[in-house]
Amino acid sequence: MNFYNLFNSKVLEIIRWLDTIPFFEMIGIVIGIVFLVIGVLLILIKIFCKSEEEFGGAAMASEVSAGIYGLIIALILVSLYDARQKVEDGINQETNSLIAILQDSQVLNNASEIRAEVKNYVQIVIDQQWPLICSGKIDEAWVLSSKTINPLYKVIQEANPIGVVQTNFYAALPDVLKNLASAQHGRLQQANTHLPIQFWRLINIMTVLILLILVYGNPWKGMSTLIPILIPGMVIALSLSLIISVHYPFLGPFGISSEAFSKVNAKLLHY
Amino acid sequence: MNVNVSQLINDKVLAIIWRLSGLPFWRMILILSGCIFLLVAIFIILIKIVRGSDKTFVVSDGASMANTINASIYGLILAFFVVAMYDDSQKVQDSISQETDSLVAILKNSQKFNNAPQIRAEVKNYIRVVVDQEWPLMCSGKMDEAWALAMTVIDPLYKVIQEAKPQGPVQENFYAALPGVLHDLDAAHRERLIQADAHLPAQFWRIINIMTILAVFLLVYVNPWKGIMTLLPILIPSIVISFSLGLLITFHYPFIGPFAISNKDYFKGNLDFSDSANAMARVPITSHPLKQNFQKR
Repeated sequence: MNFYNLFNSKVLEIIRWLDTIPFFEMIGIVIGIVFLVIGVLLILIKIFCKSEEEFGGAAMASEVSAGIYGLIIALILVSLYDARQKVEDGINQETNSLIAILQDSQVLNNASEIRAEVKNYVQIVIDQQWPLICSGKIDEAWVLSSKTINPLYKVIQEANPIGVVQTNFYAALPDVLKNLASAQHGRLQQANTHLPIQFWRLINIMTVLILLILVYGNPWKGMSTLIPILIPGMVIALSLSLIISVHYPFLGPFGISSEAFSKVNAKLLHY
Repeated sequence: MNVNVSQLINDKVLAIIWRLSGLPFWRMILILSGCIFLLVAIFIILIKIVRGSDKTFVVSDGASMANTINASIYGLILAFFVVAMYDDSQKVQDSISQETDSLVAILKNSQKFNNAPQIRAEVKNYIRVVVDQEWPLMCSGKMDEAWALAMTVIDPLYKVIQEAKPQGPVQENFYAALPGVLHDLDAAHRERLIQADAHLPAQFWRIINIMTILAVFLLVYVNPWKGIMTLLPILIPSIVISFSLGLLITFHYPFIGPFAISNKDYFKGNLDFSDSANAMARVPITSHPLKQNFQKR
């Protein structure tokens, strides 16, 4: 059981590591691994399949496999891309809530204290929480959550709204705070969301099978045999690279930046 | 140094996509088809040189099979991304609807207040700033300037609404809804600006380009030159690939290109201030700046 867990965590560590290295380096490594598998399969098939007659029917088999494999890879890619968009939507909700707090509270007696807490929230997120999220230390990032939200609740609850205008704008703030907290929780939850390890195992096995059928259908007859194997091999490697690069929403070339929070800082300069 | 070169290449890739998005649709498709045909020609020549005059060359079942695998993966990825980009474009349209709905709600909720004309004037001012200043900035990709403008555009509305003096249960209840409406307006406004600059990363485009080259190469490889008729099974898929890439480019930036989202929602229904029912008494219809602007467009 322990060995099993160790194996699982190793696979995810490798994917995380691949996501952090430069994009083209990562593509190079994935292509290299795919080509290595192709090399091994070529040798194995050369050793075990001597007769030409054994290759019949491979074309039909490949169409079925390619259809299913291609569809799954494309769907996963788009689904991970959508998941990344959802994380961005959550961050937008979080920054929108911070802006709403600034706008609603400007008529309140302690507007400057509320602004100071909003600034503090943004600083903690950019300087402390973001690096933790990017380095996968999600538990430590969760600890910081209360340091951002609680002071905002406290300072807003210390306000003394007077009159219809202040009372109505104040009445909107509890909902805004609730949205802010839920958006922050969503961001922290999504930071560690990824495809399950079992999924990766299936993808890897399917990739090996697709490569096997590709090599099986193109038995070695000289260097020119390699072209119809290596080109789909490269396309498969590029697709896997795309999946790896969108696997963790805050990492890699497609990683979400903290720019939205910098815009809240820019807004603070207007007060 | 490496980072700078990589950044430069990324910027160039996105600049080319931006430029293609801004072209008339058919011109953009022609350019893409031209590029792909050029690739086809290069590959035909290269393969002819490598194979020499070997007339007996027959494409193996394995090569056709490889082409099927390639086309399945490449085609599906391309197709799904076209759909995803189209969905993103619909979301921008939704955020614009939310923004204009919020403006209408502000006008309607505030019509009984003591400072209703001032609120109305600020709504008109908001629309004027969005249409005349922010929209051209978004369409020309000057997002930093658009964001700088956005920082201030909603403030006057907040200010004038916070200066109202609602009296009695009717006014107080309608006033109570306004903070929520202002939040929706601000959120939709910011969402529009975020989406204006949202696009697929340059790295993705590089991968798509490499996949396209590989797909075209394999297509040429499995259709060896045996006269002009050989071109048909190469050129037709090439045209389909060009169209798919064209669609992806068209939806890439939601505010430019033939399918660009227009700003007409800001002049419709209750926001059409040229309508006598909505017009302010002291602003003649003919001299209305928004109407003039709309007519120019």
